[in-house]
Amino acid sequence: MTPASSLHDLIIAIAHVAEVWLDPDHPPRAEAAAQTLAAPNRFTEEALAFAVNQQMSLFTPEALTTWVGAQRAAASRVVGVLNAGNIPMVGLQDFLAVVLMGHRYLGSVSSKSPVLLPAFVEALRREVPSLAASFAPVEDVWAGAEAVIATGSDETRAWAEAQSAQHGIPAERCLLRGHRYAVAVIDGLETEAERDGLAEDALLHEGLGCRNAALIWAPEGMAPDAYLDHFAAFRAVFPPHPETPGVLSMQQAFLAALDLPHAYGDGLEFLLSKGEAEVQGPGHLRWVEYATLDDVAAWLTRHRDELQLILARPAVAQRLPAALPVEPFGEAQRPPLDWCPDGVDTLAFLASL
Amino acid sequence: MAEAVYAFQEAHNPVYGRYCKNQRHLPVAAFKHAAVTSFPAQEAEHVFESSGTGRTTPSKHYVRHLSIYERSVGAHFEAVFGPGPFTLVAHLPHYAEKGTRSSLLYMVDYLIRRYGDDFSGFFLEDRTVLERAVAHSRAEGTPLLLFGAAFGLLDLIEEAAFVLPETARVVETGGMKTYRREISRADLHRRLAEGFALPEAQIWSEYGMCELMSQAYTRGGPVFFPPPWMRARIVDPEHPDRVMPEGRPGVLAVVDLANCYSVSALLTEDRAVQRGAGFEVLGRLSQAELRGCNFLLEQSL
Repeated sequence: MTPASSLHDLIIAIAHVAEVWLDPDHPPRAEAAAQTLAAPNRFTEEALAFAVNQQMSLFTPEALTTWVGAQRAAASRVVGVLNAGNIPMVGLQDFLAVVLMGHRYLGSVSSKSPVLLPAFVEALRREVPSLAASFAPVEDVWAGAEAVIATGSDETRAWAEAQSAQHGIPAERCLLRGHRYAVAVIDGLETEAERDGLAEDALLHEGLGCRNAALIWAPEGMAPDAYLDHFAAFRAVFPPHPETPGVLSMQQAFLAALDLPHAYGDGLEFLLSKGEAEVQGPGHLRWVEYATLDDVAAWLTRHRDELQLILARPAVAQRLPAALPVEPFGEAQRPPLDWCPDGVDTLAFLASL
Repeated sequence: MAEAVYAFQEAHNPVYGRYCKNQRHLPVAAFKHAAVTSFPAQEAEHVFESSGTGRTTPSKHYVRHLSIYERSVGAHFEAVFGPGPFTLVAHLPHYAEKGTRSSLLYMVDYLIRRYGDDFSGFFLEDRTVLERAVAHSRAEGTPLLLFGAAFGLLDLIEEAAFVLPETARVVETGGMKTYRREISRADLHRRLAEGFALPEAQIWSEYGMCELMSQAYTRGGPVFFPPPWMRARIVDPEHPDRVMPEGRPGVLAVVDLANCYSVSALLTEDRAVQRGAGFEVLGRLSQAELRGCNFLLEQSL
């Protein structure tokens, strides 16, 4: 449990570190970014800077105070967090949620992103020497945790459930998220800015994020050309990772061999194929045609459990079921502080421990 | 030999001819979209179809000569199980409606005809065939082989435990994920061993698909071994030209020379790890899994 005064001090310290980290040339950030870019991942300098800036800009004292609200954990526990490494700083929200709730953070990092989050935590520790946070290998996290936050496929979630049972962690103290993706629904009336937003939603982080749009539902017969122009323009600002064209080349060769309709950037910096509503690999968007928005709504409802969010302009959003998590274009890679992955409130989970 | 087969397929298989300019292993999904043949498809002696789920397009494998399939199936079966005869019974409930368009059904039917004795055969709800086969195996000492789809076998023992002769072997043919239940292969084998009163070492598995003319078998453990004319490699799903180190998960890529009239080098949709000369299948790889916060793909297995 975090006393009110120390919670306030912690919030002020987080906000201060975030403010300092907004400067890309701040030495700890610059050093961590350089080391992160050298790790075996698909991060680019531009996308990494975007992710760090986007997150740091959220951490004002007011926003953090509002986010935490009146929620407090009754007891302090060791919360193990198995961090993903698919996009930069992906585990930062979980870290903040754990320490703001007064728990002790025990995290593991992915080999894809082993430096950035620990560097931020170290910066915070310099402001708050008593910060209860450490990093350890996955097996040590399991051994030391009293509660766990992790993400994975059905198969690996089953593994995580077995691990938690083996280590005596009750199911109600495990927050196991699934692997999800986003879907865009367009009607052809999107503005230039909305098309720019869709390009960012789909292509930033090479499509590897759980909030990246993987499918684009479009009206039957509509040509994708206007959207492709925006994808190309986005790639001029956010160039692809050097590996992306190689990854997409196999998929493009497959589509070409089978004479399936597809389009791609000149340097294979993005790939879009027309076909059934089947998620393709990261960076490869699937263009799915619909006859009516009712058809799309039915599909979205059927696949609700696979979807992190749906992106649509407001007029289209109004015609989709209200229960679906629809956001405007350009928001996928800018989640708010109080965003609930998989629809589960991380703070509420931590407060319940 | 493989190079000659690749060259033949590049020259005579239009799909592969276009694809292999940059890549070796053709994703098996190609069989959903086109006739992947090195001969005019209308000359196919038979067409195998994947089971599909009703929502997805089934794969179609145009088979030029069934004799090649039968020789591949038979030669490997004989190398693994011996020349027989066997009392070979099979329980493949969900495949029956496909008839011999199901490569699995065709394969088991061929094995029964070629290696089975008079007490061999298929059965569905009526257990008489199985009961007679068990009685015969016990009386005559003929080795009993029970082939079955994973959930068909589970249903069988859920009704009541069924004690098989102590030398019997159960060969499950996959299908561990259905609309009803999901189970790991290890759990499945444990439950089958209990239900049939056999040691787990006598619960084997078969790995096959309609796109492949050859199969691989486990031999009492989790590792599948392919026949000498089929090579299995585990590759990076995003870079199939990169072979994963032994023990690291990736996607199963195979070269099946019996697929000489379709495509031999195929990229499956199965996650697997290399184990010595064999491979262990971990489950299906969905493209969605490559996205999102799937940290465990890297670290858990």
